Amino acid sequence: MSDVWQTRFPWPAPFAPHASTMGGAPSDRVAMAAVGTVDGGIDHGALDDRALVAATLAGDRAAFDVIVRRHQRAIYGICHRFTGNHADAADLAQDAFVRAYRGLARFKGDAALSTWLHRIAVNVCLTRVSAKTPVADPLEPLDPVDVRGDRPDDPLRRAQDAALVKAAIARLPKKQRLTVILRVYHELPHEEIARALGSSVGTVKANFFHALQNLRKLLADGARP
Amino acid sequence: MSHLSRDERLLAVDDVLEAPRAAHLAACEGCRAEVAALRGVVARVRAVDVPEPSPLFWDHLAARVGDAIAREPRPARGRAWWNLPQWGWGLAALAVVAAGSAYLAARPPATPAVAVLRSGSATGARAGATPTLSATSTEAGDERDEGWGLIAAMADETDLTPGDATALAPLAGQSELSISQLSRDERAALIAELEAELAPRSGREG
Repeated sequence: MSDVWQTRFPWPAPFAPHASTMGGAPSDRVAMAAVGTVDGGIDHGALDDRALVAATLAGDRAAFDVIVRRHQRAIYGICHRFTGNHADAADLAQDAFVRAYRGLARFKGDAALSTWLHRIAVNVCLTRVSAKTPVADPLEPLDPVDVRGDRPDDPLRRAQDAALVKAAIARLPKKQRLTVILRVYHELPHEEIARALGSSVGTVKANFFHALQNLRKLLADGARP
Repeated sequence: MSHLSRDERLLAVDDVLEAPRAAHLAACEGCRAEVAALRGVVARVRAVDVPEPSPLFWDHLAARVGDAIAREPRPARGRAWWNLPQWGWGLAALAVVAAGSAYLAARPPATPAVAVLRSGSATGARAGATPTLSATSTEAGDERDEGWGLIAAMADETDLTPGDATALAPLAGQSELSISQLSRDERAALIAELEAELAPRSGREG
């Protein structure tokens, strides 16, 4: 078995748990660099995503830790922009990675791992938040400020505008909200968004257009003094 | 010239509108205002950052995920063929059956020959029990078939012990699929073979 393994993969057969897998001591976990880990002579950080997936499927959980550390900012970002708060975003991001781990064998490798993870995060957002509607801040949470003022760099004004925008995004229908998040913040092409949402490209474009129109109206209403 | 469509307005927001339509955009005040408004919305949305969590949060999130998956079984391996020996065994068995059936179909009156070539003594018993098969069986029995001899030799050399435990029994549905893909002649050959197999047992039982 080990001979066969060595011909396929450049790392040892990892069925015995490693000392520094993610089930290890917290100090071990903290010691893992965000870029990657060196575990038993294997520099996981040097492996690309597909090699890490193969290693994880072979039982090397430390490889999945590197996947998490590589993609957690993007996944957390989607979840935070969708929910609008840190606690829910952290829960959803964790859930997304656990689902990814469970379904890792279904990752075909014909698209980037990041695209596949985006899709899982989107599904987690769509399913989990459906049971727990996010609290949409009022569009005018503070004393309204005329955003057409002549001091665009004013921190107070920027904070006010950010609150208005976040509140407006929270009021969008879920698929429109996710489309805006993936298109504007993650700059994904329409095709990838379609894959992530399980929709057609035409639907994604329509969702994005309607989202922008809705935001335009909501922001215009919210910005009115 | 018509105003920009919905998709064209989105292309204009991204500054990737094709030249002829870009010319319209430059000339049409209504389209220009519409695209400017959409660009303004995108710019305002883009300006909103996700608050950066504590620097310790990323280690914390990775650890939370690690703790959660530590309770999970190892993810199932992919369905690559080398990971599924049952596929190999099943396909190999099907390939032998299909090759045999195809060979029988290609050889005119060879259909019942299977029963004959298995065993000379069995041939006699089958011939007595099923007269309809006996004539062709006798003919085929006289001309020993090299192709079936090869298959029989392969079958004799095959260690069926692991196959019994794994997959010489085809996966569910594969037999039906294989049969559905047989030609008319191949099906006739298969039916004849099954009749030949069942006939002596019926005779003994009867």
